[in-house]
Amino acid sequence: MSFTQQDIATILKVLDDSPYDELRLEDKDVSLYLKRTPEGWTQQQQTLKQAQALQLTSTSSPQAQSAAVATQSIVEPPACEAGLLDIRSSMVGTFYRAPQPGAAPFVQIGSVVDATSVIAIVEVMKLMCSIPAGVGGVIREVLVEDAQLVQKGQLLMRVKP
Amino acid sequence: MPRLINKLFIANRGEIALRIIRSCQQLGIETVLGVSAADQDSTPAKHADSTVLLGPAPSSASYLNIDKVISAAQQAGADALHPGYGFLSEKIALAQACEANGIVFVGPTPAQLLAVGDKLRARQNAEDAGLPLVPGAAITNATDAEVLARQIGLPVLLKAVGGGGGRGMKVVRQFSELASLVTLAGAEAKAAFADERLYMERYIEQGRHIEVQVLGDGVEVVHLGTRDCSVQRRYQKLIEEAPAPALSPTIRAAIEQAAVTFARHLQYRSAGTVEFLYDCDREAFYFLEMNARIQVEHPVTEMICGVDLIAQQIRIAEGRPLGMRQQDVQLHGHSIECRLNAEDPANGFMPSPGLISAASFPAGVSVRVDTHIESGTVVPPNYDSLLAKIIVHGRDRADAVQKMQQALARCHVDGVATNVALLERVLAEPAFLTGGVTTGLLPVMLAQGVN
Repeated sequence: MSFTQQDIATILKVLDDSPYDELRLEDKDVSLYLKRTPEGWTQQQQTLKQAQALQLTSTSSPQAQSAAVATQSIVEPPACEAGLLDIRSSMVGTFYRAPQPGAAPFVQIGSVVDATSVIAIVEVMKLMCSIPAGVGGVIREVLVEDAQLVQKGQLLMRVKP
Repeated sequence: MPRLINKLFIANRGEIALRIIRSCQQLGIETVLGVSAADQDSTPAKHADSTVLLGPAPSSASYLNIDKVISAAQQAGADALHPGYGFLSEKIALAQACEANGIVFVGPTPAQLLAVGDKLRARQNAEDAGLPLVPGAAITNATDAEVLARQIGLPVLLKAVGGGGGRGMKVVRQFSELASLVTLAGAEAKAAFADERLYMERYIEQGRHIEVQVLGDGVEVVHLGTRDCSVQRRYQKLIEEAPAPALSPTIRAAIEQAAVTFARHLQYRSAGTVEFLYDCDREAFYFLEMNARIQVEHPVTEMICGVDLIAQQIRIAEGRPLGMRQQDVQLHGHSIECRLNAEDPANGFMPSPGLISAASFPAGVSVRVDTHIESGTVVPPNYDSLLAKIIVHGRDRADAVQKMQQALARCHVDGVATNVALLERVLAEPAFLTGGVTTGLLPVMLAQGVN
C-alpha cells in the first residue's frame, strides 16, 4: 500500500467531519498518526517503511506543523542492489553499533541475522533499547554512523534476505 | 576565613540548573550556566546571567567532560562551581580539578566523595561508625552458605560479588533449595561477570526506603528530618515525602541519629543524604549508602523545615560555619513530591522526548513546581526524562495527599507522553493513603495492570 497526497487529503477531510480526535493507521508499508489540536490536525508521527517521498501538507497551521518534531525528512541513499529489506529505528535516540565503547559491533556488513538478532542499541533518555533486525538475511549496508542521533522510522541498515 | 562566592558556574541542566539559579538570585550571586548544543535555548539558559557552550548534545561530550566543564568555568571567570545531581556531581576528579584550579567546589571534599563513592568502602565506613548493616557475608560453598543462612534466617539473598544492578540475584526461601541455588548462582556469576564469588545477605521482604537529610560544615552536623522514597520502579524514585510516615518515635529518632553519627564520622561538609533500608517485619533499619550531593527530592525537606538547601550548600562552600543548631531545626506539616516524567507507562515506560506544545502547572500557597519546561520547550532525547517536580505542603499527611491530588489534576503537558495518570493512580491507592508503603507497592500495582 502506498499513500498519495490525495489520499491524505481525503483522510483529513473525512476526519474533519468526524467526531474523532485521533487517527492511528498502520500497515506493512506506512504508519500514520494524526491528532486534532486547537491549531488543526497535527501529524505526530509519520513513518514510511518504504523509501518514498511523501510530504504531508494539510490545513495545519505553522505551529501545528512545527509540533510534528518527530517527523524529519531524511534523504535515503538508493540501495546498492535490488531486493534488499530495511531495518528501521523504532524510536528516536542515539544509535550505537556496539554494546559498549570499544566492544565489537553487534553486526557488520556480511553478518548473518535472523529476525530476533540484535543489530544495534538506541539510547533514549538514558534508557538503552535493543533494536532487533526484524528480518532475516545478510547485512549489506549500514547507513548510520556510531553515536549519531536517529529519528523514529529512520533507515539503519539494509539486509539481503 | 570565608571566601565569598561572587560568580557561580552551574555544571548541570534541567530543573536543578534553574533551581540553583533561583537561590543565587536571592543570594545576589552571578550565575554562569554551562550548556550543551541541545540546551542553548533552554529555560535555565534564559534565566542564567550568562551561558558558556560546553560541547555537542551527547553528555559524554558536554556535561560529563571534566576538562570542558573546568575550562568553561575558568573562561567565565567563575569562582565556584555547583555540580547539581547526576552527571559529574559525585566525581572525585571534578572536585579535585576545581581545587587544582582555584575554583570552590560546592559540595563535599574529594576525600568524602571517595569515602562514600564506592559501595564496599561506604559499607566499611558505616561499620566503623557503628551503623547497622544488613546482616551478610561472603560465602564460598554450600556448606558455609547453610551455616550463614541459619545464622541470618531465611529468606536470604544471593548476590554476585562482581555484579550489580540486580543481575544474578537469587532469593532462597527454603533450606532444601539452598545448595542448588548456590551452585546455580555461582555458575551464573562466573558466566556473567567472570567472577564466581557470592555474597549472602538477609532478604528484606517488606522494605521501605528511608533517608535523612544532613548538613555539615566539617565540624558540626545537623539533620533536617526523614524522607520516605519507597514508591519506586527499578530503583527509580517516583514519589517522595517528608517526614517519613508511619514510624515509631523511637525508630525515627534512631535513624536520624545514625545519619548524624555517620556524617560526623566523615567530618562531612555540605548537604548530604544518608539512605537506609527499613525492615517493616523486624522494625529494624540498615545503612544503604550516602549520597554526597543535593538530591532530586530535596524540596520536600525544604517545605517542612523552611531551609533553602542550595543556599546552605553555597554558604558552607564559602567556608562559613553552619547557621543553625539542631534545636533550631523545626519541622512543620507534611510535604509530598511527584516526579512528572516524559515516559509512557502504558507502553513499557518508553521515554518520550519531543516538543512540549503546551504546558501548564498548578500554582498556589502550598504548591511548588520545580520545572525547566514551558510551552515550546524541546525535550532532547539525550538526557533524563524528568520534566517537573510537583511539590505540595499540607498541615498533615492527609492534607498534603489531598493537595497533591488537586495539583496533579491541574498538570497539563501536551506533545510528549507523561506519567501523570500513573501518579494519580498511586495517589488514589488505599495503601498509599494509609502511608508507610514498601518498595513493593509500585511493582505490584504495575503487575496488576495499573499504568
